[in-house]
Amino acid sequence: MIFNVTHTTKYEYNSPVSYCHNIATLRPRESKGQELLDYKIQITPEPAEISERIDFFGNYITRFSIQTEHKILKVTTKSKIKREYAQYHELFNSAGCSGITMNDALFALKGMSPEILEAKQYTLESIFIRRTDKNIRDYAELSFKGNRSVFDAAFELMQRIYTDFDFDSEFSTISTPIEEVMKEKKGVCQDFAQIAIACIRSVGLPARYISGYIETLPAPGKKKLVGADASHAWFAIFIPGFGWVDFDPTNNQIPKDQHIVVGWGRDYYDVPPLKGVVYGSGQSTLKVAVDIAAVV
Amino acid sequence: MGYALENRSTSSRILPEMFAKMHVKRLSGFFQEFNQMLIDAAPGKKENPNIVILTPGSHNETYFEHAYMASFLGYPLVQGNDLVVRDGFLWMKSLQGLKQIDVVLRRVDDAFTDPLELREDSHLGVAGLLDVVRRKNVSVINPVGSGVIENPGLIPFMPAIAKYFLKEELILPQIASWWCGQENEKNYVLENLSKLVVKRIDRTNRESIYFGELMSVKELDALKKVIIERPYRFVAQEHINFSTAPSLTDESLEPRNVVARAFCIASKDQYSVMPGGLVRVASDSETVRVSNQRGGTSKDLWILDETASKEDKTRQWHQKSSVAISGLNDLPSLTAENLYWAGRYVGRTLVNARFLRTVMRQMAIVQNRNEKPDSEKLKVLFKAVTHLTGTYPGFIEKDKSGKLAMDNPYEEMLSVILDKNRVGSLAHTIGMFSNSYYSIRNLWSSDMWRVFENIQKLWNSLVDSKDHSINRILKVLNQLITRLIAFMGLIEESIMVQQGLLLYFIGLQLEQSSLTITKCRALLTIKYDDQIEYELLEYLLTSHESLNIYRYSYRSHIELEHVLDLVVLDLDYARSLTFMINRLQKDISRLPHSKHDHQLSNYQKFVFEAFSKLRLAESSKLAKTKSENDYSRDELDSLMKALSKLLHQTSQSISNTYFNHTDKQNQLFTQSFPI
Repeated sequence: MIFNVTHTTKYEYNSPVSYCHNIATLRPRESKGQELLDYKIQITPEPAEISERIDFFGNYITRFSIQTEHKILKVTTKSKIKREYAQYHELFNSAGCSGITMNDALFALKGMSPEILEAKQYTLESIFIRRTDKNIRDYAELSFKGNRSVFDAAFELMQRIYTDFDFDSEFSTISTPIEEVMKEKKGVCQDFAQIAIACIRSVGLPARYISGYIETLPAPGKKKLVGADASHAWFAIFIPGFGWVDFDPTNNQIPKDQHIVVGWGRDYYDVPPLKGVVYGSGQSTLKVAVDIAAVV
Repeated sequence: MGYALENRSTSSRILPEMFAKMHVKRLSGFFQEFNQMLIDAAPGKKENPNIVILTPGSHNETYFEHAYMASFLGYPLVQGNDLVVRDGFLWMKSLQGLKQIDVVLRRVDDAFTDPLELREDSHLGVAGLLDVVRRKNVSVINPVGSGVIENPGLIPFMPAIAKYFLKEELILPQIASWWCGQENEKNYVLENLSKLVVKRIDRTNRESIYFGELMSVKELDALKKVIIERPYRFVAQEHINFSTAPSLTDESLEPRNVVARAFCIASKDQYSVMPGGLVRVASDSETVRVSNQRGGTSKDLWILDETASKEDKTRQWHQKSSVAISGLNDLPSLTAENLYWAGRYVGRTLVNARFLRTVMRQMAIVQNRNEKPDSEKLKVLFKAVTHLTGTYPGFIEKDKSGKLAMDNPYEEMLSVILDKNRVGSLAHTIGMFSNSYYSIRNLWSSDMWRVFENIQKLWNSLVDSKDHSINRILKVLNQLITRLIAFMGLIEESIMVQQGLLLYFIGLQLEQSSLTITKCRALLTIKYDDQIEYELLEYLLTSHESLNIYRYSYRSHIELEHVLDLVVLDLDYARSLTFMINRLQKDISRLPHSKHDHQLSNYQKFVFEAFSKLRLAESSKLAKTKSENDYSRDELDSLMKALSKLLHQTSQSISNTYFNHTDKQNQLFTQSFPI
């Protein structure tokens, strides 16, 4: 499938900002079953300088500064993306994937090959996912067991989070600690992804955070609303010998073609869509609109 | 490094003969190389690079060292908010404008250097700095990220690292260390915990060092638990005995544990080691930990030469690159602002102390004569105290609880002098004065230090004392005033105009002028009976330290017109308002954005207007009331009011032009940083 994605972020400041430095992680990266056909970024006011580079995790980072005084910052990206991921779903049933037990995986992770070393960093603590307390480990161990398939365990973990946790956009902010999310069993997609990652790391396996979009399908007979789509987040687990497999605990499914990957890292902190330092009072209101239209 | 240097200069001063006989190796060569290393680090091998020292600020426990190094090397000492990233380069906000910086000697921890890419909660760094580093448009020394090497968990691997990369054995023996991130090592550590010293591998918590032998069974068990939870975070080392050095205590010489710190720089293809170092000494004979934060002292470390050292190039190298950055235009705007406020606060402390002394003297006289303290003249003085210090409602109105300070003037005066939490009180002003000086201490001479400490001691002795009698306070005020004047004299001769003394003078003149205006308004704009009027004029002259000059100049009975001539309108008398404003006018014209040929800049206009008003005023008119029966000297009051407004506008305009550190850096989206 081919999608046109329009993502608009708008900050309105209470008092004028004289100057700002920003970093955007908005350009979708290449990933398995996904190709970027076209990409444009538009920023108002016009940045004095703008540059792009690839960060440590392989994401596209756009850095820009605005040197004119402004009260509104608007960043719009338009991406054209070819997404053909559903075809890989068959592979998950193979012995090379679902046949790998946790014991196999932990043993393989003692290796030193570049692929293993690259994956192993995702077992370490990260900014938002550090002290994983006993609750998290206990929750993880209900699914992850030595002789059990890692794939099956991860699938079950995803299902359990979907069932046990309530989607509640009022409850958490990005700075709500995962312990609290775990205790209250409420949150949004970022929280569910980070809970899953914390669980997987607590048993010693690598897990990463994926930032992206999801196409929402209108109810039957209804017309789709522009801007109803959203930024989305899910997680991936590393199965040694097979690779990374994505899971979406918010929607209780393995992503197919409606999920579009933008970037990945250890947690939200590595891939915020837009962040920055402004010279001014710093009070602002934020509006985000995402629109995904299928082309073919 | 700054401490080592300071210790060396002290010890060579105190023990000059021993120093020469022992052939102690000099440090100057090392610092010369250090300076050269900074110069060579500039991108593109710039001839005369701009170098700054980045400090977390005066609240940091090593600020002394940063300030010392800055004044020794002659580079500006800056904080994150002094710097800004634009167009891919790093700039310093200076008095004139932005100045491009080539080299940063970094004294801010790695993670705090760039709130855009690293710790978002940092207020110590510069947003965008990492990008400038990536573009190779600035060199940061030590490079951001080098803190990783301070990980003691690397120690056990050093022999293998040396063999692998250099095919050499280590020359210095390493302290036996076990990194708990390895299974066998972890088990060894857990089994032998009571014999080991345990440290964290990161610098975020430098104080958490555990001495196994000093811990109870319970504490050891707790530590074990923490290690097992996240073993890779810990490293254990064998417990070795400290060396001791004799230390002089109050009574005798005592052995104390010492730790020597060596310094080494990478220059071109080799390393240079400082022929000396810093020796830290434990704070008492029992202490095993030795660190700066724990109140230890330090000693100079001597490396002896077999023959007399001949190098004597102590000063010559010093000039090479300081030339480029020493002008007033290049003064960091934060330093400029601190100097300006230093001037304002020292002026305020002095003027207020003198006026309070005058009032306290009158109170003492009244007390001795057993008079009631509610005479008309005292009331005027008390009200003037409130106006001058801005401690409203004070003597002017009832406070919130309905009490009138006038009913108990002694209590209110004590509060205006001693209550440091009351904004405007003398104690508060002295506190602000101390803060502003503390933040520019890199500009101080050692004599200034001594006098400054003297002032602090004197003041604390009054605050801590139970004796707050009028006489005792008068005595302290006398001493305070003398020391302040000594201090002000030292400032003028210790700091150069190019270093920012001009800003100090501007602050001082502005403050003294404003307070003179307030005093005149409070004491002179209402007409009283002749006797009271006479005494008020005398108090004004006394508090202005102008009574003798008045007597010398006029040889007559004190009259308002003459007093106005002397205190307000005299162009040549250094304490007159007109003189001070004229001086202010000259000083501000030297600021980088002042204009001379065409239209004046805003702050110049305000001062010019104030000066003109004073030159056009006539004392005979100012002294008059509207009519015989009227009590209010309207013309004097409206002149003073206008001047007060103009000076306020001048201050605002100078702040906006020069100290506007634009705005503070803020995160676009604030999130808590759970470290």
